Amino acid sequence: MHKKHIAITLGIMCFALTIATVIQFRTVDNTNKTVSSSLKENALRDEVLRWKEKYDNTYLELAESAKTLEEVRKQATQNDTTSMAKQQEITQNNMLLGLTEVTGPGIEITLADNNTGLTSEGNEVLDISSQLVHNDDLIQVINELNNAQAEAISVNGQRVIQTSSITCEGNVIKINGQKITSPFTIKAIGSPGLFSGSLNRIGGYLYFMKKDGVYVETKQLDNITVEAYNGVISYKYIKIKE
Amino acid sequence: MKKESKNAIIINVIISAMCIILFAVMFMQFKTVEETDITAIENMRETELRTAISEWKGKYEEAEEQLQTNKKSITEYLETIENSGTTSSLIDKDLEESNMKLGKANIYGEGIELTLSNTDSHVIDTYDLIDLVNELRYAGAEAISINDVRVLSYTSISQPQDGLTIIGEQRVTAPFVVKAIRKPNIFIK
Repeated sequence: MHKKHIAITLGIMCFALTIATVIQFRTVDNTNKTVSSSLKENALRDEVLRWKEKYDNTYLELAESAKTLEEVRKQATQNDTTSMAKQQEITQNNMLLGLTEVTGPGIEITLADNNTGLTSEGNEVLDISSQLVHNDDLIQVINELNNAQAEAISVNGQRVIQTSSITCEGNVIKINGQKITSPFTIKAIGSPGLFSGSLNRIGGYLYFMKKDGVYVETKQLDNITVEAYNGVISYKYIKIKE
Repeated sequence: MKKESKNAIIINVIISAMCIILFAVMFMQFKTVEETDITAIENMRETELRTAISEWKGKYEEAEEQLQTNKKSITEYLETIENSGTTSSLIDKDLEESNMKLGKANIYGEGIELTLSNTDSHVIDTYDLIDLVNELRYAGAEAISINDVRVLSYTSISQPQDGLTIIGEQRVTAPFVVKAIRKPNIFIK
């Protein structure tokens, strides 16, 4: 009788052990996969970091060389008034291109998604999407700022330059290849009164955004800093027509 | 009696051993499930990482190229100063390039030309033009013009009245001829 008991118990044990072994094999298999993929991922991550570091170093060096170039140019042109004027024009051009940080009077606009689901009148909103800040909204606000003679514009620290596109990438917005998200801070240099009057007018773009319930705030400032473009402006396909 | 108690002990030991094994198996299974989830996320990350690598690589190459150009012109300037030569030709070249970048020069290159005309069902408004400019920029356009008015970073497009469009303080009307310079095949989507 006892022998039978023991035999059954042993049988069950063997069964359990077999299952355990099989599971272990599978686990090991899986672990190997995970290890190899995380190794691969780590290698990729390392590579990303390596390229980023390389870029950062080169970019620093580039900024340094741009400064040196300007000084050398100044030095070379100090005896010639025509060349000096040209040198000043280049410096001015670089400012307009967005390669230097600039300060001046202007406006700061903050746009943020509304999470309450209520319009400015307190009604429940029908289309929640209208309460979010989209890439189109940013493009329109920038266009209105340009219309009000903005001299320099940045969105969340990204300078708007000639080749800047603002695109929707799912739940984030991409500008100059950088991902940004709500709240958006748009800084523009120009006449603060002109900005405020033209942007906050009834029937203007910000008016409708506010009406939809998007958080909109404008601040006129006497001194505002617009960041420099943190990339390189280089053209591969355009040539000067003689 | 002794034998029976011995057997009971053995059975107890076996049962507890089984319990331990079962627990172990359970934990292993938990771990396996967890790891499988991580693998899915990691696969997703891998493509993202690859995109990030190519982006940074491109940016690095651009920066490196610009750096070499800068270094070259610094040496050119220094050499001319040393030989007390005239730097006016060098500065002319720099100014020309700077003006080209800013959009002050007439330029040419490969690209596309789009003509947009109003139809009975759709009249082209500023939104269409602004969106189009944004899309062209996204596709890597280096220079854009609409009806021969160059669109720069500070160019605004407005429509004070139907049928009249103002681009950068110049009046234009439909049909709009949009020109963009970039490798042509990139626009084909």
